[in-house]
Amino acid sequence: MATNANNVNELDNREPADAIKPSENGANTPVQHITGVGGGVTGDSTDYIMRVQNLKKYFPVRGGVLQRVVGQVKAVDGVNFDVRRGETLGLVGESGCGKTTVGRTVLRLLNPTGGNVLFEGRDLTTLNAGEMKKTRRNMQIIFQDPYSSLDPRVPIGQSVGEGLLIHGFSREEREQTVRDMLKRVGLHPEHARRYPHEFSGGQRQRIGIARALTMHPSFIVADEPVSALDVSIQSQVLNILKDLQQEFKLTYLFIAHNLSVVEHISDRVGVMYLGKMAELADRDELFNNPRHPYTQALLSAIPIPDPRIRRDRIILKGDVPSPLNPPSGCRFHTRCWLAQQICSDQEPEWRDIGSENATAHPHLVACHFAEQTKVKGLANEIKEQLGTDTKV
Amino acid sequence: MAVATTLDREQIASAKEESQRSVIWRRFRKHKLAVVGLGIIGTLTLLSLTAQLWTPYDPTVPGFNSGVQAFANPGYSNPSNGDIYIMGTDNIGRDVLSRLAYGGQISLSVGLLCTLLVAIIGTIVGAISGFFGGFVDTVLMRIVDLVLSLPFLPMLLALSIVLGPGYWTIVIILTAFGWPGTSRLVRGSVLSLRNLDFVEATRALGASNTRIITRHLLPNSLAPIIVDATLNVGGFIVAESSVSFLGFGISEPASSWGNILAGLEDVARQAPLQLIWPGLLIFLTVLSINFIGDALRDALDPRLKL
Repeated sequence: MATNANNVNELDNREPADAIKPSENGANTPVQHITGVGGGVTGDSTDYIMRVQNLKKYFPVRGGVLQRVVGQVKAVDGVNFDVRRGETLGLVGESGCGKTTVGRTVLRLLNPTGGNVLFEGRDLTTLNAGEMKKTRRNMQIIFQDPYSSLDPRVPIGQSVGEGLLIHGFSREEREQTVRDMLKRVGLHPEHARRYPHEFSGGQRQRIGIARALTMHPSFIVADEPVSALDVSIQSQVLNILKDLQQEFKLTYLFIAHNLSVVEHISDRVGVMYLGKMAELADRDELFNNPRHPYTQALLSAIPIPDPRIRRDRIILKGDVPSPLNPPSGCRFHTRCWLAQQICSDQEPEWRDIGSENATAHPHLVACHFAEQTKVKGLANEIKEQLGTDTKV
Repeated sequence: MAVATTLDREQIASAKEESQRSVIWRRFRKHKLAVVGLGIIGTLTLLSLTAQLWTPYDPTVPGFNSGVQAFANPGYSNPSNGDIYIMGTDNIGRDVLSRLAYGGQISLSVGLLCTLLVAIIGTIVGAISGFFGGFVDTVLMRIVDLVLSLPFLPMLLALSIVLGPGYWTIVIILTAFGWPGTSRLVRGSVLSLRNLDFVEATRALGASNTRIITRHLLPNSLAPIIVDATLNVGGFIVAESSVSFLGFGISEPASSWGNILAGLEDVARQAPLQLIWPGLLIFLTVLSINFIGDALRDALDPRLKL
């Protein structure tokens, strides 16, 4: 993916003068020192569109007659990652691990409990309502459920053009953009007057994509965009997402639980477990050389579409612990087959252990024993058995 | 073949640039009973409003020499002067037709006005409460609980002593006791909608809370609001009669459908017909409004094929 900031800016020639300028150099942002383990070689010149630092989101649990706060669900508890301009960062993890909450919080659809989200070099958590509204033009979201993500009472043309209306574009501009966008995602412009219930799931998902793209954002959170679709439609929507990424120089934060989909679309992949980031590396590095035991277990669960093949799966014992009261130390220690005393005593550092491939991006992992967990060709084994690669 | 032509016509209709209003009207018309209902309400309203012009007698003055013969005797003609009482007179000789026409002014306007006020207040309070939640919600819903827990009749007595009996007293009292129910309904609807993805999507586009509430949450809450309002119309017309019966609303000699009913209760056995007239009008009004409400709800819902 191209990582050229200027291209992105020129793309949207309607951008008013007060729109947020991308920082020339992500490494020069004033909070660089906070990141520490944020990823990336210190002082590098990588162009980051978003840097997430120690992000926390707790949901209060109320109880009793007086509805006092009796506990907190730590949905996201200190997550660090960077998103490079133009890349697709996949975020995987099982249900309830906080990946959706991360997606909502980095867009400030939810207000974070703690931490910083730097978007184009500006900390979103400090923006006031007016600045936030301007920023929203540049960051959008695509939802999982194509049925609840469109207002059933609003014709889809209005839904797609609503952002433009909110941001004060004229009627002609709106209608023109809506027509173009609908055409771009493979729908007829005449469909603008129809209502959501007149479309299929896949069409609705494309309408949702069109809505997210009308304002030419630079960053898109795709929250399980294909999970609710038929397999036959999934690849169609994935391909549209890929084409649009090239055409509009988009950056995706792609949240999913389907590893094959993530492998297909991502440049880098982050694995979350119980509100924490477990591992984050280049796609090939992560799939070939997973170091966190949880990642290894997750990868070993990828189904192989051949009933004759028997493979040793890593079967995890027990359930995910409650995020109300997460385990001490490493959150995975209750289910980890490598757990030692240190794992329950001390939280593992989020550190770069280096990629196998020297030119690749850092391989970040939060495990005390990351250096010793190299699995003998787990991914290779999978690939051999599949004959080709595991892409969808 | 028939199916094909219907389809063609629909496609032509949808292809034409059609304003939102004419689409709704076209869909509304498909509900025949509602069109009839609209006609009935329209006729009743027109006849009531123009009562001063066409009613033959003063509704508050007992007719000359009518007395017992005309009572409960539709079409009675007074032999001494040829006055004809189409629906007869009541027990003290007032023309029933005139009383019903004038009474319609009160009953229809109280019913419709209170319904409108209750729907507006209830919707605003419910939407704010459901959308913002938390402290605001708690405060507003406790106020609702408070109003709902007040006993109607003692409060009615107290309020009408303060305000004095009259038309506006009735409107104020009925509205004051009516809005909490509607606000709970709207709150529930907004609560169930506000966490849906399309609300989140609208917020992600940069929409304000006002826009989200007025453009997305309330249109989607329209069905329960309309149904609630149509049920309220009948309730308020009847409630007006009970308030008037107790002497705190429209008092004799002025008439409303409610107090015609109430005033005749001791002579009901002799003249059941005189009870049936106002009852029939209330019944027709409520039924018509319910049909109109149903049709409106369906016409406004794009998901329904009509």
